[in-house]
Amino acid sequence: MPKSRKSTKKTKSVRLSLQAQDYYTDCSKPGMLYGALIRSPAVSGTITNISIPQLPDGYFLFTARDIPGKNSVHTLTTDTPVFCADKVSYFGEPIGIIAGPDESTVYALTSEIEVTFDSTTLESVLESVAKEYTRPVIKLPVSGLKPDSNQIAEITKAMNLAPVPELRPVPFKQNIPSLGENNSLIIAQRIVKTGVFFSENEGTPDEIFKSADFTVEGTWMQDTVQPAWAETNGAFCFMENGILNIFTPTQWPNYLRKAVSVSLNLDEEHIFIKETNSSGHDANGIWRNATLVIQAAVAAYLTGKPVKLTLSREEHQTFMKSGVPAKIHHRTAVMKDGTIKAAQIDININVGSCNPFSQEILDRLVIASCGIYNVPNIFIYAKAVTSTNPPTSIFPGTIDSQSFFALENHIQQIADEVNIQPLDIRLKNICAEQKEPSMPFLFRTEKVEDVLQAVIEMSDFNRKYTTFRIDAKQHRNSEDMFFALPIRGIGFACAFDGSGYFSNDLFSNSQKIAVTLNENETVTIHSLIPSPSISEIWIKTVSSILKLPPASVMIVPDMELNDAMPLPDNIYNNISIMTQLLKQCCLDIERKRIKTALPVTVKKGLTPSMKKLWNKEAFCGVPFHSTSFGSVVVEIELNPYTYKEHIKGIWFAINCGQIFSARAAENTIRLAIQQELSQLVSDETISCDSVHISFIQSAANPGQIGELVHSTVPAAFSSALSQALGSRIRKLPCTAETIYSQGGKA
Amino acid sequence: MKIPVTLNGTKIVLEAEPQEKLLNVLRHLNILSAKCGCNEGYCGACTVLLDNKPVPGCIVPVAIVRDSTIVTLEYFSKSEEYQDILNGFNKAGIHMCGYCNAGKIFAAWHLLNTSMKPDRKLIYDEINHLSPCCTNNDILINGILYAFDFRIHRIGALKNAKN
Repeated sequence: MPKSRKSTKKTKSVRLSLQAQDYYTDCSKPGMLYGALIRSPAVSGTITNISIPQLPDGYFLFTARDIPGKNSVHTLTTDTPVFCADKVSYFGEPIGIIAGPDESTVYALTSEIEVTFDSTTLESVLESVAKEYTRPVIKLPVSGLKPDSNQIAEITKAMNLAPVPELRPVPFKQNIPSLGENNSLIIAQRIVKTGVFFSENEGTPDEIFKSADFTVEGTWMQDTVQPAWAETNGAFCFMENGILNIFTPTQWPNYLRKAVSVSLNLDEEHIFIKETNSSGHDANGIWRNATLVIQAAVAAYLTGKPVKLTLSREEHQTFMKSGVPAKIHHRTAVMKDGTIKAAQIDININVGSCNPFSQEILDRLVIASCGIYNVPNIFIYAKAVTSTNPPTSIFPGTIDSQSFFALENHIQQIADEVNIQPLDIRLKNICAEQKEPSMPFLFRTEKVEDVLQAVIEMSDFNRKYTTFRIDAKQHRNSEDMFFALPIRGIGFACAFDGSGYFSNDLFSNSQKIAVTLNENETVTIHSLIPSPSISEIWIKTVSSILKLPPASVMIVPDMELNDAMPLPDNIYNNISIMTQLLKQCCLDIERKRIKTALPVTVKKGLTPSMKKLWNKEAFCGVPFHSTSFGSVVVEIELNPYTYKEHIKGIWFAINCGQIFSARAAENTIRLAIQQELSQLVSDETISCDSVHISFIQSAANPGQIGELVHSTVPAAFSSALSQALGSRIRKLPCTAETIYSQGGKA
Repeated sequence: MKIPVTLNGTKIVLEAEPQEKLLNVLRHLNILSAKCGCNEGYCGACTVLLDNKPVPGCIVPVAIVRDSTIVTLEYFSKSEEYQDILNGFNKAGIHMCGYCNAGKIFAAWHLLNTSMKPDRKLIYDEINHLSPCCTNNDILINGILYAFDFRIHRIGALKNAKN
């Protein structure tokens, strides 16, 4: 086992000697080599050999057998290979890296690599190979082919003769084979039962559904779409004075150092990691980045030259998806007055070939699946399955947004079928403060009704909803092509956002912060550096408690904390817990500063009593340290001829506790809305006339803000679009073609 | 292929394949302010000034820049106009991520040089295609309007000093 890392003089001097760049793609050194990955063109099969006819001087090919240490990356409880050694487990799996001084030549060489598959698996290889692949070449095994394999040889020959379209080709056009759930494996599941589903003495589930006035069913799907503007993932690595230097947009440096150490058989003390910026909000810096880093590091270590491995845009979008596609089915028993008596919820997520965070993703989806509603009888069955797609990752910011998308759309469907206003059905079913909750999950949400009412009033929702509904009905029945121009719809959704998830032991043990009041009356906050808006909040907090000017407060990165960090650092961007701990530190300092000589340092972490609020074994209790709550209305207009969508307005009301900087909070929400609008329809950014934001003030600790946008806007958008089209949109992102065809049908 | 250009005030000869992207050629020259974003010419991360017009370097083949003047953010950041824009952005509270700076700053520069008094709609149309990686459109519009203000004050002060 590698030794635990200590900050030595040697590594410190290396840190100082390096000129840090903000982005790894900006890093370079003389003699640098460019890397390009060779990927499997098939989803399955057993590789027996990887070769290249002849490499030019100064170019290198490294595969699994060249790795000095272990050809495996260990993440929590999952092991994934650095390079596929024999059995291919997913389409596009890396099987080697070519490194050389000219980037174009390196990419051209990847087309000349020959991959020999085992004859017994060759047939399945050729069946599963991507139709328009350009690299690498599949080579037939020298012996062992079946006598009737002439046809296979012909197909293979034809494929190998396919011309390479350009020097840096699209590795595989996006015709990934189907999910392949036939070979899928359930790797995580969660079942939650309450009421009749838990205890049959209270009646059977069937009786509940039979006695209900309505049974409403629907399936909802949401897949995350990565922004196309961010820096693609990769790494820049070089050896210097016996130290392996790594520049990469990792969000989990402690884990990365260990992983590199194991694969390169290199002591952790000889690995220096510079966390470069990660542009956009993609989460592959958590664990998937580690494989890329090791692949580049292997080339740098073995050649002794600097190596930069940068994924092409197509590779990044195809193989580095940040979220997991989810399919959620709701079946609900509803009474005439809108009361939900029972709910059956099936949650299915496809995590690709693996995802070390499958259970956590699933649990968060389960917790969010009933939202803030109080349903007396629930049965939730959630499962995560593997497939032959590339591995997936976790994105804490939108981890449960798919549940809200499904739930809020389903509530809208109920409102339509039962003929009740969307606000009324929500008010009827929310877990009000005075009611005895029957749900296994309790949330510390305040002023829920105020938030809902605020957004309804701001947007004039009730009037518009009724008008657009009548319009849509008449539009459907009318043969007049000029009727009711343009086509309009309005949607409403709400969601909570929990911060500080208690179920994760690593997380709850690692929330720490230290504050020092220095001799010169300045304050130093020792923590991981938070985002600019959170920094502003922290500085204002300290300044107001200790009655010091904001300029005297600074936040410094705590290297000890950073090095010991057992979890990705974006999980630490936890405004509620950290701000509360910061306040406690300041209050302690305020008490001590009179009696004690300066400097005074106070450290705080989560208390055991906080952690007991959640019963991990029974999967019930208070899952989050604090919960913010938001509600949104989206009004949409469609061009009656092209069905091109345009948002007339977005109204957003939020209770996120204390607001220290309304301007920063508003900017965060506006940015999140703008980002969300670029992801709802494939290859389009939806234009929006106006955004109105209202904060419902409360004395609670500050909560998360931007994430609420990702949990609410998609559902409100699809509800609005469904109303406008007169046909329910059940899947996001949708396409312009889908909208046009659904509009035409209506 | 040899391509003579004026790059950041210096006459040089670029050596590149004609179809190579201007962005890649500049980055190989260690000019890093232009970055690779969408690779389709709309996000703005790769923007440079080509004969005083902002263009996306990721879709411009280097052959067509022959005898042109190219200005990148590295050079432009030494100008007074850059300072006006930066002051305006700071006043609006814009914290740019560093990846999209070229697009946003050159879009602001373009507006400063083509409009006397733009309204929000005109600015919105000019910036709407830029990547929303770190700055929302509303705050960016504010930043550009503040930049106009700083520029007018600077030019006014210069005129007053001359008088």
